[in-house]
Amino acid sequence: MKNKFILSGLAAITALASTASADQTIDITGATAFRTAAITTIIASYGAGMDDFAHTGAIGLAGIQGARQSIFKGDFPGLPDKTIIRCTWTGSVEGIQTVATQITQDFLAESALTATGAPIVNDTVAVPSVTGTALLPAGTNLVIPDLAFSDVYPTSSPFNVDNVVDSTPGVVVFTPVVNEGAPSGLTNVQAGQLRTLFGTGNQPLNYFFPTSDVRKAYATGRSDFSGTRTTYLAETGYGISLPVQQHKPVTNGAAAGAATLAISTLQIWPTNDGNNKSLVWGPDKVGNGGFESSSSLRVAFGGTSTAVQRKNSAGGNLGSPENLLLISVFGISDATTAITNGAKALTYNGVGITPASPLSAGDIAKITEGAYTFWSYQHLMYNSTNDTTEMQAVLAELTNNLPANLGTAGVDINLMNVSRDDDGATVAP
Amino acid sequence: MNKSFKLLSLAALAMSGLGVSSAIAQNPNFANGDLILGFQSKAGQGSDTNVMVNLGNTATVFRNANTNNINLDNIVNINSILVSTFGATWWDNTNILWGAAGVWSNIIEGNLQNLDPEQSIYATKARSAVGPDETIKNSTLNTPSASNHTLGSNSIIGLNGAFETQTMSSEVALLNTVANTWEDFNVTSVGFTQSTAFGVYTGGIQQRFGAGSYGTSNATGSPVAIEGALDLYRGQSQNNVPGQFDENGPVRIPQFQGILTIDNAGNVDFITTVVPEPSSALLIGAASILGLGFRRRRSVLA
Repeated sequence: MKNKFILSGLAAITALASTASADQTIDITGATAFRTAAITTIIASYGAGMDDFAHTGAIGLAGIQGARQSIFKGDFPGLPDKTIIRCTWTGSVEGIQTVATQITQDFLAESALTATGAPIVNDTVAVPSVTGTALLPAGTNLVIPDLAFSDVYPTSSPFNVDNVVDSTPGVVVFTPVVNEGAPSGLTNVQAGQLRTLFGTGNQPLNYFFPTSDVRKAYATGRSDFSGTRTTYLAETGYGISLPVQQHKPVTNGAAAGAATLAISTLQIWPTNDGNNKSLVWGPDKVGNGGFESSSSLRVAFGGTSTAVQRKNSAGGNLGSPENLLLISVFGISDATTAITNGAKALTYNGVGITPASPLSAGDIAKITEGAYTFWSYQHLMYNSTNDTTEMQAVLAELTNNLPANLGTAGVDINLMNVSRDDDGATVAP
Repeated sequence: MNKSFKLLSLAALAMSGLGVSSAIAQNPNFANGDLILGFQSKAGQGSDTNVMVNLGNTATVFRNANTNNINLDNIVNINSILVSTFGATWWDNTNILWGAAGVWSNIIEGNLQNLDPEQSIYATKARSAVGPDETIKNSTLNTPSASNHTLGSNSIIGLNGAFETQTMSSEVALLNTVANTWEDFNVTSVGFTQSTAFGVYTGGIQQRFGAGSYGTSNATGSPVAIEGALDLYRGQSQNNVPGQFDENGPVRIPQFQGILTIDNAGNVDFITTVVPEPSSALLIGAASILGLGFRRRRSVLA
């Protein structure tokens, strides 16, 4: 047991004392597709000043980068006393909503830093020279976030964004992906094909390329709180507010990347599916739901799909198990993981990139010069009615450090020789 | 793309910080499957606003009405909302277009609502002429492909979503900055050329108002000035759901149901059989005796 667990009683006393200190807490929410870069940047921003951290993911850097909730504490550049940064990644559009309309989001409480007991474990890997904790239970401390990352413009939401102050510190890149088992001939997808696929729910493979393969490809993806979904519906011209026909894959439970991982059922997205409901543009509808987070989707795409039991919205079986494929759109970070586990990236409108960390110079050039358009700006925003010196200090430090910590998330904004005026808008020099 | 700046919706207001866990405000005066009558103006008063009106369930109110010779008088009076939105003489305003559409589900699972299978689309088309013979169908609505029919259903469900969440009433005037309003799916370019409606119906489904009237009698034969007339069609994407209406019937081919009319008092009627107004009947009888042809026609601004 590490020392801080032994000293948890002392920590509690310290916590009481800290209520009278000048420590500041900055709460960040928003894009799940960008969380890897965001967490890396936060860690880099603290540098050697970080004292402690805790998160809901598994042990290690990948765990904290993929965690829905995390908390960091330490000396932060430009700020006195201790600075606590808390993150809850819920999706870009939900991030816009919380900042624009100043409503609460759930975060880990500061007490999470000293929490003990199963399943909580020490994490000595995620941040060098700092011992934190992993596998925290979900935090329920409801506060109004200070900052939100978003893959899409604030105006790509139905919310009143008059008071939102937006900046674009990066470019986030996406790619169409097909799950494990795709035929070699399926290498490309056109914008129009994706429009039809997401609108109709499925299409035969020979819709995408000439083939005698009789399998169908089914659409799956994210909820409308997601910036990834907003981007793929904007970029393809489908329309960000229109309902889609997506399917929910469920695997056999084998570990991510395991050879035995297989998709066992595929259901037209049911209503009342917890946090997977789409509620931004209208009521909960069959087919219109999607994963709240990319992690479940990423795992499923590493699975085979040769005997998938299709289900209707009520959960009833539709016919016999079917040999089929799934197509969706991932951020580069998730795509890299899915491809490692067996999925395949598709070129888009005939131009492709190879998801990797970092992207190759050639692939970056396709983005920065305009050949590859499946990207959006990464936005970092706050509400002008909730503007504080401490928040501005964190915002400035993160913005300054993001380009060097983008990893698989995207491209340095300073490299872009093309631009676009809106999500899905024309890309031009 | 169907976006720009979008206003805060009732749906958004209903959501908490845990957003997805909360219920959305649901309009008790609208349900999927109801026929939405939509109005938009391209200039002048009300050009930033769409009016949407619930005319009732597509299947139980309108389906097969022409076969059953059903006339519906004064389904609704919407003069008040049209006057307040577009001005007192909305019926002569050539900037205004109107049409109607409805569907109850976009997901094919073999279910029925009032015997209509999913993706049973109801949509209008402007009549090219109207006179005493309103029962004569003289418009054509194209037959979409299977995929486009589905995409059209998605779009109408999107429109339904706006009606479900943006109002608690059976009629509403919504700013066109709200997502999924009438004009989002019924785009009109310069010269009032209508784009494909709901991504499905080429040339649009709306009619443009103009000077003069299209007819002189309503669903009961009372003398009125009919200012607009729309042919209503039903197109089903399935014909093999046991017990459905028109089982084994045509698939996706729009079938004529009747005529929606609106008079200058804002009364909306549904006409399948003309009831001649008494004076007209006498006049027509006299004209026939005199061997004179009597037919009033007019061109429609479309």
